[in-house]
Amino acid sequence: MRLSLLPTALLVGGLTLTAPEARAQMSGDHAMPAATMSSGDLRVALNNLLAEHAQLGLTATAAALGGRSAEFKAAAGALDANSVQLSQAIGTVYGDGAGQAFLALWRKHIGFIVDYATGVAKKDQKMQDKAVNDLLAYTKDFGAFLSSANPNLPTDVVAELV
Amino acid sequence: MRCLRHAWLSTWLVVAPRVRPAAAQAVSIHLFQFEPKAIEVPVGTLVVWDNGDDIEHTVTSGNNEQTDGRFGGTLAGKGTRFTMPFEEPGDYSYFCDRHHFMRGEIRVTPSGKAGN
Repeated sequence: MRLSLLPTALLVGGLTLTAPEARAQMSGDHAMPAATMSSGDLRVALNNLLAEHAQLGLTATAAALGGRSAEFKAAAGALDANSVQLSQAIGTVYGDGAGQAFLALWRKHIGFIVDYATGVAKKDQKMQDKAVNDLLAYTKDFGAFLSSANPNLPTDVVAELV
Repeated sequence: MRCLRHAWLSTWLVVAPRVRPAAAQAVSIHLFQFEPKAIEVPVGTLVVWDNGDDIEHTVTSGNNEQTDGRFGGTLAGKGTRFTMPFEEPGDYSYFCDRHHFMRGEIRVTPSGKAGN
């Protein structure tokens, strides 16, 4: 789960550096309804969303490994809803297009982790290796995205941390 | 001397080929997006893509992640550029072959009819 947790800190740090007074119009449990959100409130909202992401990711992968398909389906659905909320938060700071790009990238890493868990469950080494390679490539993409969002976060440093 | 200059200028004006400089339209790549996402340009326009992301992107013609082979280029990293002149009117779709969610549209209009 290292992959999921490290971007959490970087993402929150990156956003707060560049969005001192972000206007957020998020929807959902952690959102403030259509209001101006201070950088502190945005940080708290993102922390909550990313903590939820980590928890749901663990639940989904545990269910996948245990072969509990109904539980996996529910967790995966919640995880995707969480991803959408995260992308909306990104969109409030960097624009809707960036939010959509973030969502597409973010969903990819979740898919790769699910692939890895599925590979472990099936004892399929080839599937595991591919998932690991995909995740390594993803770290560069995600690093570049964060670096574009905030030049204080060099791509290579972020990719290495992920 | 002044007359000679005028004579040279007149000659140049008469014999110099009428070269219409190509208009250029910039498309930036930033935060994994083509900006503007859709452009409308007159025929003969040179479209210039500048990569502002620290990662390789491509400009690949086609739709639905399927290239149609009309044009394409690779922008290896931040600060790289790809240019393409559009000499035929029509609609051109393109995407990044490494990040399929990145898509753009170009409408090339007959000369003088561009809306953008």
